[in-house]
Amino acid sequence: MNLPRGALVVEKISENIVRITKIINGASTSKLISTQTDSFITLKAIPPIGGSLSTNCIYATLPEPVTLTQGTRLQYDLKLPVDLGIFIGGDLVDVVPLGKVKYALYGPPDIGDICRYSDLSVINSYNEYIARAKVIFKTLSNVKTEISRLVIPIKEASVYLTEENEMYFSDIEVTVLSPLHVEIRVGVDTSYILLGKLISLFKGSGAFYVMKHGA
Amino acid sequence: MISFIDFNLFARIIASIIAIIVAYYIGKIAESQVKKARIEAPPEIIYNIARSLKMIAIIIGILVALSILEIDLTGLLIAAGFAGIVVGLAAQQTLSQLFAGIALIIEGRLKIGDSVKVGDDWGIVTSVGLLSTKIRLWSGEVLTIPNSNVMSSKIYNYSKSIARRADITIGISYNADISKAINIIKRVLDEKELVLAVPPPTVIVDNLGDSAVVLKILFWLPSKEYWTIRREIIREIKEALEKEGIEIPYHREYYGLSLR
Repeated sequence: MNLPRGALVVEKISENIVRITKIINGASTSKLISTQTDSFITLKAIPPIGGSLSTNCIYATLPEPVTLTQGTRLQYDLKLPVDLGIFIGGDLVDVVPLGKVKYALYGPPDIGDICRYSDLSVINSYNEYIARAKVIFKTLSNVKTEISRLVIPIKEASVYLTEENEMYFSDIEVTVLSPLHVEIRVGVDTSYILLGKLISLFKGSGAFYVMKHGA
Repeated sequence: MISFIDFNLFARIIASIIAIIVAYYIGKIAESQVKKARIEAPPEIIYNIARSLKMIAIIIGILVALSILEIDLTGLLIAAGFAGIVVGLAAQQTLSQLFAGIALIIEGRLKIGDSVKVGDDWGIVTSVGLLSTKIRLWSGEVLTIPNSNVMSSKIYNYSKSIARRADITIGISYNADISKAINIIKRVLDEKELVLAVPPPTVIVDNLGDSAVVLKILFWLPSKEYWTIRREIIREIKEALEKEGIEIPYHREYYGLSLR
């Protein structure tokens, strides 16, 4: 199977062993995986967890900053990269990044997090391998807040295809409590502001990240 | 009569020795079980709990042995109190190491597996005991440092930070196009997956040297990959600059010599 930066070869070398070979930017790596005889091999678009580092978040710079004034709410469409997940019998056994992989440090190096980086240059390298995410911004802060970046938790996130073959990322909710306390939830079902208070109804256990070092 | 007393004393001595041996083995078993147990705690804490359990078991064994020998523990405890003061004064250094060890473990300055520099010694922490800390130096030797020395030394813990900044200086010829060189270096850094995009890499003209325009390159790397990627980048920058015809001059001095 051809990939944007190389190729992926999945071979069944015996009854219970599969070899996965990734050729990315000319460099080839392979591994053997034990399987059950009747296991299916499936390829699916997944949130960007591939690459040399294991991360739990995406650091996304917004193409243009969003300014939120008191009590307002706005919806925004964000493009995020996706990776290719290789599943054998329902288990994720390998991940292949489809575009350029970079990382970003959010916060100070001793207490911050390293996340997969996503900005326009990264997105452009992915071409069609991007998912759209609906981002809902809300503010409970009295002060005007400008948001130029988001740290999106990806542990609970998922990518799904629409009937039009468009990829969508789980919905993202951004709640500004103060400029130094911005909560980001992924996989939120619904939420609303009632009498100035945020009422959230969560579907399952949505992933959660608090941006404490500025947004 | 005498032989009966002797036999009684002999039996008590045997029983007290058995008590100490049993206590020692119980302590040893407890130590090994704690070390093997699936406890979600830092390894240095597990190691010290295991050793403390062994010591407690041995002390209990000795106390049982003394009571078997019908030695009055009250008098012994008073004597131990005085002895404690004397030993405390005599073993000040050991005690200071002990307290330093407890402080090190509670504060978590060093953990097993951390990459550290203590004073001038650089390596991986292999154990943090109550009295001393062991570091496996990069050259392979295992260095044991008394905890009081560790506490009073400058400690650089490279595992505490998830990312580190790399600083590289490189000189280019005075004839070279500075902007072109900076763009080439930035391209090399951008193509490298593990060079962090944020904070962004910076390339500045740092100095006008004797033989070269000195560029300073600052970029961030994940701590675990620091040395590997740093050396790869130095090589790749040199190759990329040479490929684009940018000379990296070496220091040259010209001496004039006139012969008459």
